[in-house]
Amino acid sequence: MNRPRLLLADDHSIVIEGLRRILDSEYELVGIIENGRDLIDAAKRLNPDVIVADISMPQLNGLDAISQLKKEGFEGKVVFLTMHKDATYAAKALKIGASGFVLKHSASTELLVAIRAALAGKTYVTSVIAEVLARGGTPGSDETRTSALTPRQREVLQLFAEGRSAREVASVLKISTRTAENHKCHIMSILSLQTSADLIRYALRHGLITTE
Amino acid sequence: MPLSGGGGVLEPRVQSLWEKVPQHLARLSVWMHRRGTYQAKKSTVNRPRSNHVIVAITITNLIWLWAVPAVATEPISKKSKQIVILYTHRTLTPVNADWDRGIRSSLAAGFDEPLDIEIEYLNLVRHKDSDYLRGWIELLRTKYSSNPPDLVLPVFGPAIEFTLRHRETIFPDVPIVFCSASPKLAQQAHSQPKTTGVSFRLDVIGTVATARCLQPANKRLMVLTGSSVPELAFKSLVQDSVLGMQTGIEVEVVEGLPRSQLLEKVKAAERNTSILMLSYDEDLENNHYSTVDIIEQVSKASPVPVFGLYDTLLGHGIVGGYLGSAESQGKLAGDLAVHVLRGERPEDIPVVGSEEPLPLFDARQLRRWNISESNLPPGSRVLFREPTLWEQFGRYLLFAFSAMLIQSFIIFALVVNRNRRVRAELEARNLAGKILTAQEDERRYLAREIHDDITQRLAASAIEAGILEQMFCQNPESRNALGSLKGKLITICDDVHRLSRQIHPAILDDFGLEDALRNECVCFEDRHGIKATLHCGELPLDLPKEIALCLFRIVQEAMWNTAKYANTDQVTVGLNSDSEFIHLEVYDLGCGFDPSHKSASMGLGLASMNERARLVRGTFSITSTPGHGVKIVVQIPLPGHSS
Repeated sequence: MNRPRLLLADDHSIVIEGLRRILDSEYELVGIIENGRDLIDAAKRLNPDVIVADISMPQLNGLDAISQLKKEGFEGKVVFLTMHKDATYAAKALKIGASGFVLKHSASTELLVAIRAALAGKTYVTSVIAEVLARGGTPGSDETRTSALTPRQREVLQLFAEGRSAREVASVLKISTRTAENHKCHIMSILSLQTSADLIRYALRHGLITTE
Repeated sequence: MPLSGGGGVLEPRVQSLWEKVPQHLARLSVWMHRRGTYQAKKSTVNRPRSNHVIVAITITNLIWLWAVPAVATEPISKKSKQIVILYTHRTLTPVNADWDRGIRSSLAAGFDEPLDIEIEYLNLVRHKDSDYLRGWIELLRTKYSSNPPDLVLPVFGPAIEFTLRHRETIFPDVPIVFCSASPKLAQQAHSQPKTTGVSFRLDVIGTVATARCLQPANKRLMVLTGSSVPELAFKSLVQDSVLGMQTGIEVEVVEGLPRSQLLEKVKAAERNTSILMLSYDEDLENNHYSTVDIIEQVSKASPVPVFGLYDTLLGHGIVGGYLGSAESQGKLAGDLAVHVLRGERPEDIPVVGSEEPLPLFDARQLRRWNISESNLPPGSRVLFREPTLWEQFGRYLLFAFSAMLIQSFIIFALVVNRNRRVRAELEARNLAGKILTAQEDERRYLAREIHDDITQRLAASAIEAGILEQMFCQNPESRNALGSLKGKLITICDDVHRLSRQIHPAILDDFGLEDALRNECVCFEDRHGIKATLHCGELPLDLPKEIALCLFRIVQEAMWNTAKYANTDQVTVGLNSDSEFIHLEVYDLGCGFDPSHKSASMGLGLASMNERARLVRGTFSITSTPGHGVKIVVQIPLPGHSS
């Protein structure tokens, strides 16, 4: 039976020694890569079934390398093996299409599990991190954007709402007219406003200006 | 004068009287005493009373005897001296004024007794007929025969001649001191009894030579003179002197032309001419002028410089020359008069020649004719200098200038000082920045070393232990021991990793500020059990690393402060940006503090946050009230907007 072909990317030889002994029995190790750029080339060239990659690597980090590969249509599975315990890394990894996220020091027990799960089409994240992700603290995926404006934007909004031209606003705030216009555009897009009238209505409603 | 003088004389008399009264009284009392004792021997009771009456009457009489003659006789015995001055010219001519000033100043200075000065303006320039003269003789005799003067002072030729001729009729036996006689006339006069005086001197040669010297090209001299008798005499005197010089100068005498013709003549003067003005009181058509008026018009009309011989004309249009002075002649005559009034015999006093005429010039005329003062004869005096702007306002200018100088110096010093301070501050800031940057660089390096080397080796060891653990699965004892070893290695590995992350947040470099902060919030929550919420607006993609690190560190520090002091379960981080600024807020609703009483450790944390913000040209502020939490606000300008 053909063993799945595995590409290993890690720049620490001392770790690779250990990993090789774990992986040798089940996988055909098609290559060992030491930086992100080589990883992209090797993956394209060797087309492995699974890539086990570190995140921190010279030249190009693992996340960026894999992200690029995935974008270019790489079909193989990816398991990240890293020292980074932060859930953010795991979230990022899963977001770019990785199937596993394993901490290096737990490799002896979890790496094979994660690779198997990946090959089976599942996702495996080291238990400690999985807990954090499950708790909803999935930082990278938190898309809640505050609609609050910066103090400067509020200033600009008020001045525009008071009926000043961009040039007048610029001279009051000692900025360029272009910057003032940029501010206005930005504010309108943040607040999803279409017209200057909307802007004034918003300012009125929020007490930035009064009718007097 | 006579009255106050009389009073002055009276006073010492009365005073001496009062000094003498006590002596008389003393004598009187001695006499009374003797009498008293004598009468006491006769022994009558009412005698002393009649004695007192007699004494009183005697004293009164004595006082009257002394005082009344003193008051009554003084003014009669000390009559003031009288002097009569006879001027040749009519009244109010400028030259008369000069003579008069000189005479009076000498009399006032030299003669301290009362003096009665009577002045007669004979006007002998204009009127020469015998009827006129007879009239004067009659008038003067009537005026002075009953009260003859102590001295007669005729001024200038015609008046002197008139006085000498008619003195027996008008002023018999009165001494004469004449003023400004020509040398010849002076000699004649002095031979008469009781007569002395002052003769004038003119330096025609000096003036003509000076005119030549100032304008060497000039070959002609135009002499202007009136046609009255004294003027003609004056003219011939001058003419003799000039001819005596033999300078080769062509002399033209313009004599007694009426004013308009005179001015025409002067106007037409050739460029190589110098004009010399003598005196111009009368023309050939018997018009009369004042020389001063004429010289002013002549000077105005003249295309060449006009010189003169006496200083009355200076200031009225002549350039100058060796000028005699009517005033100093008057002074000399006044001095002689003082001697005669004091009783000296005029015959014993020799005729005085006036001083050497002085080279005097008018600055305005020098400027008009473009004559440099350095060309003037040595010892020249230049009058009528118009004060220069510097002379007029020099003191104020000097004051203003020095005030300005001092001010500028102070301003300069202040500016230098300020620049020095600004530079020092900049250096300090740069240094602080370098220290912080160096620290961050060192930390980054250290963190990487730990991550890339130690944790990797630990991880490798843990993997090794794990492999061994599986190899020894048959032997539970070894397997457990290896499992425990692996567990310990993992723990160490985790700890070291955490340490590395604390030293430098690699995540900031890997994912940027937002993710780093989000992750920091999660870790903070894990570590302290305080919910940390991040509200993050859209951040610029190219946010500079140093700004990101600055904000990250400030958030770390702020949250650390919250955990340590705030005693709350929530902290909120707000991050937002616009095209100019990136804006950070960290606030909690904890117990807060009074900003005016910062504890030392808190102060240190705040100082470092402030410093970090300042390094990226941002502003940092903290507001808090006890019981209402703490709010930290940081605003950092984005590159391209240095505000």
